[in-house]
Amino acid sequence: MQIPFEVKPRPDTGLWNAKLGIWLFLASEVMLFGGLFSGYIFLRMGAAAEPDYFWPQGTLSVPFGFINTIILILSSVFVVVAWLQIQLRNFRKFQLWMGLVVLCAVVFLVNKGFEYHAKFHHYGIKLSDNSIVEGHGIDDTIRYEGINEVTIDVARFNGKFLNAVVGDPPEFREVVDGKPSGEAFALSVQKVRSIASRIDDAARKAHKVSMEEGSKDVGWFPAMGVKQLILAPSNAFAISISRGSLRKSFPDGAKFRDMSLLKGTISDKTPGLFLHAVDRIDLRACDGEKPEESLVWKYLGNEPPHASHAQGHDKHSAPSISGAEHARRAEKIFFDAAKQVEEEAEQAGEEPDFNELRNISIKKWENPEGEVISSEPPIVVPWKDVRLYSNFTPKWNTYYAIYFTLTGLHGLHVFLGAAVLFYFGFCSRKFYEKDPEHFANRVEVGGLFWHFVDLVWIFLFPILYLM
Amino acid sequence: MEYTPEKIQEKLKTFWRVGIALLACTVLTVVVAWITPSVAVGLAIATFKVWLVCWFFMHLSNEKPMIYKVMAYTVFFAIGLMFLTLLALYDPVVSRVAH
Repeated sequence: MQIPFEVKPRPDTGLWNAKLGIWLFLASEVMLFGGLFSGYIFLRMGAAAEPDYFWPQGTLSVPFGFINTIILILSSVFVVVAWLQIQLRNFRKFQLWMGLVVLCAVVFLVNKGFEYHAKFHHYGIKLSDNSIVEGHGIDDTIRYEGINEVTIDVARFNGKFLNAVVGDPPEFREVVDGKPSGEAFALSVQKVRSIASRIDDAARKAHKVSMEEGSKDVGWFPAMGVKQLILAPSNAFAISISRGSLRKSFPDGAKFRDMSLLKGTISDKTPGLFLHAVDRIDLRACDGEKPEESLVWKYLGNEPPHASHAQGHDKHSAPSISGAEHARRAEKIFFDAAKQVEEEAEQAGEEPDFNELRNISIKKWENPEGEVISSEPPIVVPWKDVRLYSNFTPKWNTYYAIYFTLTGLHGLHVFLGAAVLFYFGFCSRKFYEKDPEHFANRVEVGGLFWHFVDLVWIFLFPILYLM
Repeated sequence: MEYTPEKIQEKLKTFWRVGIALLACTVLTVVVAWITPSVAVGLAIATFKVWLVCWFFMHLSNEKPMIYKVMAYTVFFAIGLMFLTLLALYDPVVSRVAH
């Protein structure tokens, strides 16, 4: 069946089908991205009204974003030039320009990949006084020792905590009335099920007996069965695990995601969260009045008490300088900068404004005498003072939430648009030879989508990278 | 639409000129942001760039009325979306604008 107006325009509207189709589709795309841009405005205005949350600015590399903008603009020019080559019925040249468009898309996405990679490997810690410290190379290993009691949730138990046990997993015994009783057994999901069904059976029987005596008239429900089991290990054991994979960490115990609660004490070997190569300190939301009294400054320069922490972070460390020396340098950078602000304010006869200083990169600083000091000190934040820690992903703050949503969706459009244009350029020769006008229409539609992708980026670049 | 080779050459020139204008505007955006962190100026330049792309690359300079109608509705509602945030400033519990 011949579909009308596929190639020739409909007389009343002057449009062929796909042209109207792509514009309607683009209209829906405008609304989709419009909603997300509106979300961006909401989050940003909300941040401005919030006294202890500051919209991160200047966290993305402007040269990276600039190059990607140039690449997309060039690809937009290339795609219209390719379309003109089809109008000239010059398929080889069309292929050449289309190839360049696809190449631009690949370079754009590779750049984006580098940018995402950098964010995934950059970490932040929010301390209990709301000061923030950022850096590279995190180690969140936490070790609990002397574990002598384990409480498990029968319905949720998955046995994962056994993988974190240091050495061989111990055997366990049930705790009844506060005392270990019965045979020792190797803990597993099956074993827990069999114990639970044994206890449930006994409880059901007891319930039935009491029913027959007529003292109760409530039937048996599964919810009346055993919910928790308390187990005692044959000897106290230790676990070592990434803090991030725990549901909750207490000074006297660890709760796993399956609600298993292990009672023990945090080992001296892992007193806190270790962040190597600190490059930024943000004290704008800090509770304390004076920067030097903040918890970040208190803990800066601390090194972990055992060597395994520092493994794998060698590329960031300067082996000749200790953590304490690094911290001293970082302090010098900070306080020299503060002194400079004071002096400048004095000269200008104004009150010193330390706001910029409260969010400072301590990686490198050049004082007025031209002396350059660099430092990337380590920090160990005691577990009790860790309020939140994460790499730079949506978990860290709303800026990264909207950044990844907008750029991720845009990147998906780049990928799919490039795939369609690649198909036109390198898999559609037969179509072109059969009906070049129809093919030109297709290319125009693909090009319109590609321009839209460019349009979105034209807005994304200034709002995410520059403002 | 018929495209004569002369017309196509003319279009080709226009497209390259627009491309150069877009690149120049991108440089301008970065320079302006470096001088002053003005959101309004940055967005004004971005809007001008978007207009360039729509008008020339997406052929809106010479399109059929139906497309204009579709786009007019879209732009109207998309701009409307940007003001949704204002609703968040209104507190329905005590019926006042929050400060």
